[in-house]
Amino acid sequence: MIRKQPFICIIDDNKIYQFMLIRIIKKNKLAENIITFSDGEKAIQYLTDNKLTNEKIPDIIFLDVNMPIMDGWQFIEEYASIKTELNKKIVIFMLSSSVNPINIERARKISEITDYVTKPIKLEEVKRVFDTSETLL
Amino acid sequence: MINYKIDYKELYNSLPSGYFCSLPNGTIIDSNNKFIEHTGYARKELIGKKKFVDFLSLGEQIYFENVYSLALKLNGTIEEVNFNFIKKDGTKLPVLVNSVEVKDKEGVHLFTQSAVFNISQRKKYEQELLIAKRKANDLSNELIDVNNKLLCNAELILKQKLQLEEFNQHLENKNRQLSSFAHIASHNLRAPVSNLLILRDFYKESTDLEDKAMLFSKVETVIGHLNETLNELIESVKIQGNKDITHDSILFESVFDKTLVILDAQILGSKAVVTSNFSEIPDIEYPKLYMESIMLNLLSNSIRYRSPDRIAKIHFCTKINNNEIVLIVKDNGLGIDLKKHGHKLFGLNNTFHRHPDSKGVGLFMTKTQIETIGGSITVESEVDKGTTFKIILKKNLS
Repeated sequence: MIRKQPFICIIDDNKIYQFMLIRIIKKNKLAENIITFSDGEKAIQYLTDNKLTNEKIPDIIFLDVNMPIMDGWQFIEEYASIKTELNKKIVIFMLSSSVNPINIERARKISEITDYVTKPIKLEEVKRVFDTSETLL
Repeated sequence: MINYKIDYKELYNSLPSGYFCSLPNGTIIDSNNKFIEHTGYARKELIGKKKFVDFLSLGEQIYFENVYSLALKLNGTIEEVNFNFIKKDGTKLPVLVNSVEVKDKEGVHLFTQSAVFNISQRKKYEQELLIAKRKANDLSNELIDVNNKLLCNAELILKQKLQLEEFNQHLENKNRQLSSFAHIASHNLRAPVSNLLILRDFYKESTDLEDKAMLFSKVETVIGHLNETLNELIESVKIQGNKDITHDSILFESVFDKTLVILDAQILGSKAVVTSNFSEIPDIEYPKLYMESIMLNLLSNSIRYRSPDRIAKIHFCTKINNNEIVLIVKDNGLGIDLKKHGHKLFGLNNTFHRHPDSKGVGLFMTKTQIETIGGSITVESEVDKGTTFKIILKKNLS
């Protein structure tokens, strides 16, 4: 049986980073369908607008911490308040170049976040993220 | 009823105070037993032979003749005069003397009646009180001394405490700057460098020439970012290391005018109404370059983040607050949600508006400059109402 590939969402203000993550995912044929946002507010807007259309809701979100307008933490807060309206489970991975243990601990305490991954993200890590989410979805 | 026959002679002799009777010339012609006891003489040695003045020291004799006798002659009576009565054996007895002249019908002075009270107990008590008072005074003086020393020490300690607090504040400031620098270095440099490494790997793996060219353009973009970030960091290090920068004597008005000239096009283009009032504090000793940069950053920020719904009003003024010189910049622009963004308002590369010009460097550099001079910057803002920046430039030393 061919498994359906997950729908990916990348929320990151860094275009280069978006590009690299997309390239890793596509090159390794982990997913085809990828949507990107440059800050949390736009992503929340998208999720709210499409909450009733399951195929438009992503399976996995790669969420950057540092972003303008609405950062990763604020996105999680907003997401927590709308997630009951969604008919789909989303696995969220938080990404940051910060190795600050306070940030890592903070992410661990938030149930909406599946894991915290430090940048730069490597192929093995991306694969691990996909494996983890496969068991959860 | 029992009839007592009172023997006045007996009563007179047994009275607990001394009594004597003397002639106008002072010769004692009668006395009770108590007085004889005071003198230490035998009755026959005293009566008709001694005068009261014989029992006084030379000084008191003069006082007796010139003051006591005179007052007695004038008033006919005198009370409670203190003498030091010298007994036969030379010991002294402090006494109070009352006297009254007895006269005949024609007013001729016949003799003088005197009462002599032994006040040695009272004197002793007085003496004790005096000694106690002197001791209390000494002690009080000592306490005042000690207290003064303590006050001196307290003042010294307070001074040292203030110095330490100032030093501590300086260190905290430095620490904050360092920690913020470390954070910036870790985030703003680590990210582009790791991106470069990944792009290099992509480039190596790629076999397609077009793909390689595309990847190389990405590398160039990252290098551009990296270079920009490095320049900003170098600039901030320069500012922080420049604590001993010379403080120029500057007029707020003239720096402000210069700022208006630099931003002339933006002000005209935005139709912003820019006003100022530096009358409360017209001048300051401050690095001119920093003041220019602070005003330029704040004014261009206020213009950039004006509200599209109303004419932008921006006001600059100076105030004295708690002996500190404060620069206040107030606008009626878009405002910032401080609950969401307050913690990173002054960070490098943090922007809060989707504005094409947003770069997020200005406030970081402004804050660095202000803190290096020992000041601080705070912000009050309400979304869609406006923003007020308060900058404590420095303590007013005068």
